[in-house]
Amino acid sequence: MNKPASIFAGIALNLEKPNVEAALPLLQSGEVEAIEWSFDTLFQLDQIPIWFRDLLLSFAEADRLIGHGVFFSLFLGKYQREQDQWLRKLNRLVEALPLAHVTEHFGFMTGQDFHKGAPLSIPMNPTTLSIGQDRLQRIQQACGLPVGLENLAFAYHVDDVKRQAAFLSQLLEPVNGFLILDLHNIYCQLHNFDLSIDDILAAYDLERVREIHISGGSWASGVINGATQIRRDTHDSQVPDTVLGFLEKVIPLCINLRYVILEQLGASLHMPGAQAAYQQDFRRMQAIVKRFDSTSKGDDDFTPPKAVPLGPPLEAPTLYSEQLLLSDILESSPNLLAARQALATSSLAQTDWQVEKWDDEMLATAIELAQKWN
Amino acid sequence: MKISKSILQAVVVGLAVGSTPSCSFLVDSEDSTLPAGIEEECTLDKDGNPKVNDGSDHDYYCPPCGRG
Repeated sequence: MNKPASIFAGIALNLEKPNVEAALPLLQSGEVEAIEWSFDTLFQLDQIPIWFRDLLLSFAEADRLIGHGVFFSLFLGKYQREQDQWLRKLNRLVEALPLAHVTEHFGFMTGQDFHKGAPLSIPMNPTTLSIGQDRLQRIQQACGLPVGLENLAFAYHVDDVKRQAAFLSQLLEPVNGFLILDLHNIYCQLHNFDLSIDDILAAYDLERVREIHISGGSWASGVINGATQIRRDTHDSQVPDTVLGFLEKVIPLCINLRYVILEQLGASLHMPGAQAAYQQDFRRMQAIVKRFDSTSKGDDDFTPPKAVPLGPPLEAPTLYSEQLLLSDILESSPNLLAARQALATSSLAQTDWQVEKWDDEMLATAIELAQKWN
Repeated sequence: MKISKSILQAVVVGLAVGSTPSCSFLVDSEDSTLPAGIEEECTLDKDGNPKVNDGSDHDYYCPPCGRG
């Protein structure tokens, strides 16, 4: 009798026609072992077509449906009404559709309302640590499930890359939380900051990894030096061979790994060729997972600790005003020079944001992200 | 993971009749500034007017992730 697989090969699946079309052959053949669903992009369960709900439910009933939030904005300095609604909806959602765990992203979202914006990094200091821990505890109490955070591709400068790894562990400690290790996000960082994979992995507590993401992305020409290629986490192309190589490297090191998830946006899956390539990516990923799935030796399920009463949500008014200011500068600056000048003369100068150290190409990327997704 | 034939058949039918929005972003009018009942698709702005195609390779989608 075969040993049950301990690591599930899955896909990010959302209610986008090309996404579902591309995944359909894999679902029909029984190859997909888990689904990750971004539940907050479609909050009203009764608006989901019944066929999609039933598909999700079939995975949920097998404990193979995981939830991946996008819009909570973990580090926003002021607790928003929308965040409270997000938590209440999550609480109702898990009653109707059992999830195995819930995750969110490291960072705060720019954008004028709760559904827009791009995730940017934050100063990593005691204030943001407290805010992040407070919000994670609220997410956990809303769902009663293991909770985790995904590492962010974007960083303002090289110090941020390694600091993010340690900060994630500190954030997750009170909730006995876990990491989503997004290998394409790391691929972006090693290119954009000229680091090695070993440099970056050494900073992470890999025993905290319960989930791995792989995806493709794109290249953008540098603003300062057009010959420079900036790697962007756009989820719109095939998984690079290098990222699959990272997967082979890290799986044996992540003893509590349970899910490996392929991500690709529906908008990049319109053409039959792209859908075939997506299916090939999944099978390549799955082959690697199958080679290692008997080596997962850990038994940490990241069970939530006993809930403690939470007081009013922590807030940091200065952080919030700085976030609004930063969003405004990024969204309104016509070019990099204007953004630099605005930052240098703003209340963000000479603070933990360390705007003076920000890499020019990363600042240019942040401007583009903020203006594109606003 | 094996999925029941009836569920898979329903997925096929659902795709064929087009019961998927072009974007998975459905607005809950209780907590957004959009008028009630509007399904915000990628091609509409917050007032429900058509967005301008910005001509980039990544126009017309509002993915849950991949904003990076």
